[in-house]
Amino acid sequence: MASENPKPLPDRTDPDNGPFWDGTDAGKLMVKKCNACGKHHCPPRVGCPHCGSGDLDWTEAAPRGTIFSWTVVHRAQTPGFGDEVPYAVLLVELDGLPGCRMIGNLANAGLDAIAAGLPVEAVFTPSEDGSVTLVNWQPA
Amino acid sequence: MDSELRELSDKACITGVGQTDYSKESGRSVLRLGVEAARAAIADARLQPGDVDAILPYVLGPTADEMAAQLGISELRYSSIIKMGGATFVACLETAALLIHNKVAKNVLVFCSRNGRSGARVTGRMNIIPGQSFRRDFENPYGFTVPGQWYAMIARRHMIEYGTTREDAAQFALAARKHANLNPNAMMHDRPMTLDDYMESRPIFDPFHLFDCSLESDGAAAFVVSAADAAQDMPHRPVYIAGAAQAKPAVSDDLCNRPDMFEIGLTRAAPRAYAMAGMKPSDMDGAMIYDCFTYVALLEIEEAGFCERGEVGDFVKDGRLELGGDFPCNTHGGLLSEAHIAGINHVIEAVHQLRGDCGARQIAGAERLAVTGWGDLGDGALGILRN
Repeated sequence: MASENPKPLPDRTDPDNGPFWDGTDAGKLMVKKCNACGKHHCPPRVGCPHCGSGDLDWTEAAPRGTIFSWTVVHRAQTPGFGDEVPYAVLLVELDGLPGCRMIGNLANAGLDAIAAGLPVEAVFTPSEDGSVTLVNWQPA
Repeated sequence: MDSELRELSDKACITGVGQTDYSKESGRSVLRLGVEAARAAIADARLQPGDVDAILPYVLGPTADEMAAQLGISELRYSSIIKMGGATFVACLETAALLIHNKVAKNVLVFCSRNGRSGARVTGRMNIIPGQSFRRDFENPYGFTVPGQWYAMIARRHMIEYGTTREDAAQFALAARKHANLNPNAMMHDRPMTLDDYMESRPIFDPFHLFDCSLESDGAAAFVVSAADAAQDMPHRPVYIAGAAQAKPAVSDDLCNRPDMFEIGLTRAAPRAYAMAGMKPSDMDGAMIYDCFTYVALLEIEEAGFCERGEVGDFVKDGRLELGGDFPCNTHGGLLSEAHIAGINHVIEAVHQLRGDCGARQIAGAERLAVTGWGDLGDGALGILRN
């Protein structure tokens, strides 16, 4: 059922970011890799933030990481999140890709579970309207 | 390089300052507020509006064109927006000094005007932040949409790496509130706060609780920058722009993926500002620290060089930040307890301190003050003002 106060959704028609959402629909976590310097980066860019090369490809990353930082939101400032408080926003550093970090919500655990360095794995979560698959994180 | 930077030092002075009342509801348009503050600043310098030939407006609010038309400034030679969020007004010290020294302008008007409480509050101002597609696609869908949430990630990381505590952040908030109670124009004047009040305040974006967060305010402030030689004949004791620099952090459109989360714009601006002034952090008699959130102010204290990284918890102890302490900060109350006028009020306070007209909140013998700026996703600036 469509919510009267929908949460913001990504624009999956965005030509630069769109392939990420094609990946999540298939249960894959896609990140950009630079063919010139060999480094990965997040979020996906059209030029490499490390060396400036435009020779980039999407590659599949292991859907696992550790909690780098987090905040617990007690006062919602985002449409659709009023009933969610308190909710956690995690900053997850992907395994094997230092400096590649992603924002997502905590899934399938209480706020007490959050700790720096906690191993987590991606939970591919359809949006309320089913139009896109978001990535949240649960303790591994 | 240092000698080249020194070239710009002390060439320009802040010669006029003005501000409106600060409130939750001004009852006036931002244009009217801006004009009030600008007229006050121009009159304070004993100039006529026609003497102003450059305007540096904020990215939001009245434009240079609108202000010039209201003020009767008929010949505007230069205007541009320095887009650094809350670092804008400290960054404008550098820009104004450049304009003056290079004889592009004689008198530069810098102003900020906002109905930040009764008008568009913080959620209504997010469409000017860099990296809009990143915000839209990879952050907003997770309820991660406002600066306090972004900065909470840095604060938490600082707590993880260095053991920084809420009690440490409290020292900044308590000093600011104490000072606001000596400032009749502060929104939190007559609103004392204890450590218990602070510790018991409700969580907003943990680790930020209510009293870690700046106010949302209506009001305007403005200052005028003139050539140092002209300033000698103007009514107030000149306040020299001894040093000023602005800088962006690495990948300045995305705060979350920086290799070093604590290397902010200020980290890079500070050495240039000190070199321009020929001074060092320990030469400062105090500072006005951009304090949108307590923990951000703590990080700035480290990155501006007042203590080593990770040691701010010790640095802020024992009332050091309070009047009478070793390093008084934010004697007006800052964004936390005076008003959130995007940090232009920090420049105004530094000028009043260096003129020696702060009365009960005067820093005794203040000769050199630092003013920091922080904006958007970590933009930064440092100004060093002297009398």
